Amino acid sequence: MVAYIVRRLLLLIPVLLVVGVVVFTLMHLTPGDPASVMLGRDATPEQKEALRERLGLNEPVPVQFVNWFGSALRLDFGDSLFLGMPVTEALRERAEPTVLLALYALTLSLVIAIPAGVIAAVRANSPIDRLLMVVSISGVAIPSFFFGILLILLFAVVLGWLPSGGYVNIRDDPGEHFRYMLLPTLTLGFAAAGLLARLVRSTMLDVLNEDYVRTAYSKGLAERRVVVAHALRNALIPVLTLIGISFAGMLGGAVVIEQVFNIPGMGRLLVNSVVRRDIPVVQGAVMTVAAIEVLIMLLVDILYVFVDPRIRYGAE
Amino acid sequence: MRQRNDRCRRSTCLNGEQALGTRVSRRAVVGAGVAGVAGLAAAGTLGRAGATSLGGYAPRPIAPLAQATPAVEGIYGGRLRVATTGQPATLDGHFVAQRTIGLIDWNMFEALFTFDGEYNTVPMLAEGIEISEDGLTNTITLRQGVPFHNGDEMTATDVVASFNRWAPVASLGQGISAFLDEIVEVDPYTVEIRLTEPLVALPSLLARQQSGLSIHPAAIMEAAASEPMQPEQYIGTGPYKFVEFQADRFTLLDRFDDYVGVDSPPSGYAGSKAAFLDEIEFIPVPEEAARVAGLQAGEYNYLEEIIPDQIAVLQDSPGVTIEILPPRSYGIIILNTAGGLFTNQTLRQAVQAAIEVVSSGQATHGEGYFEPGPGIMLPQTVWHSEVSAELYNQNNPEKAAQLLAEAGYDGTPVRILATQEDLGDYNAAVVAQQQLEQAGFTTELEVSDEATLEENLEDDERWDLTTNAIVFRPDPVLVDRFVSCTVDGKWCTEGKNDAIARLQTESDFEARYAALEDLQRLWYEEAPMVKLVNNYGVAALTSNVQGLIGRTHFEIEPEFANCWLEEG
Repeated sequence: MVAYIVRRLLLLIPVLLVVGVVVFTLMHLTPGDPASVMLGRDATPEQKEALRERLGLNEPVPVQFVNWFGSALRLDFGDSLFLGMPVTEALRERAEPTVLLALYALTLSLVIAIPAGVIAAVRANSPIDRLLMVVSISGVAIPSFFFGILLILLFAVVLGWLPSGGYVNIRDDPGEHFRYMLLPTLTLGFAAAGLLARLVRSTMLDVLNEDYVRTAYSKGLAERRVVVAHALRNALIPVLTLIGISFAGMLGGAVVIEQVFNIPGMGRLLVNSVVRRDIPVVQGAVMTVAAIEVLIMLLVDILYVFVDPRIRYGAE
Repeated sequence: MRQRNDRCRRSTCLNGEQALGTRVSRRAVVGAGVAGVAGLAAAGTLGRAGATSLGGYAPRPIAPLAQATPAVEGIYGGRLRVATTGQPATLDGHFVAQRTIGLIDWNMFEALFTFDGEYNTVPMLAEGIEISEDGLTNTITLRQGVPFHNGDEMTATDVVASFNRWAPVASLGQGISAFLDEIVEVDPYTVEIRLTEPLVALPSLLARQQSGLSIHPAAIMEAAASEPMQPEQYIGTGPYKFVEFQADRFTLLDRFDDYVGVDSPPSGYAGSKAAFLDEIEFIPVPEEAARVAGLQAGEYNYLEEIIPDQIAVLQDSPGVTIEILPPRSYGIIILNTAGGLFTNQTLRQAVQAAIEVVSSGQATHGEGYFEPGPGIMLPQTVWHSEVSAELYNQNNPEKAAQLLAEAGYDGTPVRILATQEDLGDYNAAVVAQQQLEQAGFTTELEVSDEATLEENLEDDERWDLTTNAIVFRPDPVLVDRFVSCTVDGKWCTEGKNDAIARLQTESDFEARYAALEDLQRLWYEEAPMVKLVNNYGVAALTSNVQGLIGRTHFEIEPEFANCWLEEG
């Protein structure tokens, strides 16, 4: 098991290398000059040239790549052209809102999706199944920016109960933090819950038709015990994979949610940095997101062992 | 004061008492024959006197800005939350010209001169200016006892250091540098700017505006040198001081308790400035819908920008005030005179003949939020002129086709560059494309993001036509697109340069106005740009924000001095 984990961690190196080269190449192939973006359209050519020189953008691209890659190996992604701070610091600052939002949304989606999926499976083809599936399809089908704006209109504009956007640090004021995070959590969590609920339902339906479930029923076990202890646990493997993918996606940038709710997170930083041609931040952010994705998928693989004892790694 | 007034009689003199609180009509200015004041004062009215109504289009009436108002009685306290359209890279206005920077900066920084309610250039940190008979020596006396936010008193050393850092990098400063011999600190409260040629608009060029000369402590100017100032270096003399900046989150200012301002009634950006608010928070909210919802919910008190589509949404919202303001800009089609098809003047004239502006206004700003008008200076200034109006809004595809034939147009596509990041400019480009196609041009519309557009515009051989806007300026020499030969399109002809030189150096207003009319005539004859419509400003704010509407220059950008939040 340990050897397996080490091997998977070592795989990070080629993955990040490829991601780094691709991002570096793409950003340098994309037209658009950071100096022009920073100085505005009316800046003089002399001003732009002076800024390019100061930012080191006049160096030949191969030299820039070698400098950047050498630093990246030491986890130093350089300084943001736009923010005037080290990229690692900018990423650390923006990670908090994104990670917390993803955790809240994931928790909410699990709380909604697992019971909903199980109930829908157990009561398959009943009115309650249909109602739950209509709601879950809505979660998948309604674009999150639209749902977010509807929530803002209802809870912030009409009722005035919650703020329309922004972010308060949890350390500064936990109460306000949760007030600000409630609507984005609902928006993101609802979308994720829709997909999860459908998956839980379909895998549960498969499992509920298995022989061992029938055996459990015939032993006289209570339905709740059969469903929770026998069926659900076995239905969790594909669900766990989807949870991992959803969570990684949320961390990689709930871009739309962050934009609609004005949350200064990783996704918004990444999009803004692409627009601003802040190349070091884009490179640093994409590599960080790639590393997070790999690590989360590794964590999911490890969790399989605990959910299904038949799975063994590194036993060969 | 008596002594200074005596000096004023011998040479041109501008001080607060003289300019403030005096409604100066263009004729009165001319009649007075006061060289400096006449030349640099962009005196005018904010009424609609100069507005035109073309093509049966009736502009909506706009309330005029109050003249000098009595000192404001407001309520102290509260935090004003301003939703901005984006996050500037820096707040160092010496380096970067952006509207959001101006919106934030001029609450904490001040300039030597500023614009009053009628666009007269009046002193702010300066006490007055004396201009020698030959126009070459400009002696600026400074107000005494004005503290910076760090507690040090502002002196001539700081002014000279700020000027020396600003002049080489800011486009306005570069405009002065062409005339500059030297700037000298005469004594702690006197600065002399010695010129090689008279520059009548010097005080206007030194006034508070986008990319203008804000005054900072000399030590900071030397420390920052050619690098943008760091947040801890944002120190000025304004009524609010910098507290904290978090990129993409907020910029926070709070009241500067030791502020020493001008003791005269508020007028435009001039006069006394009371800091009623405890704090001002500028929050970047790039998403339009989020800005609007935030205003409705009372999260934000003022929106930096609102697109016309959203005005209807807000108009009936309780607690929200929407105010239609005088024109703050006008749209332009820029034709590339330095490369490609439109180096041919006849082809440019064909574009001008083809364009009909009302459709463009409807597409870019919406019915009721624009007015047609031929003047290349906005109608609320004394510079407004109707010269060559017959060449404006021609809507004449036949004439365009005739000019195309005359120019021997071979169907080479007109390469139109646009970005959807500015929807107004994009819509103007789409409308222009349709009208050019109807007139017989072949066109190609290339849409990219802003950064790509900027890069493409730098290559003269890469494009033929793009769209943009010219924002309000009280004096023509402050309009970069008129003065510069290097901005997109690169309009740079002998006649234009001559008109600009006269605008910069002539001391008599009539002579300057004649130069402006020449410039406008050349604009229509040489057709480097095609004027579209004047776009009204729209202020969207919560109704508890008081002291702004009718007082500050929204058409440039509001200042939050003398503004307060009503309770409830």
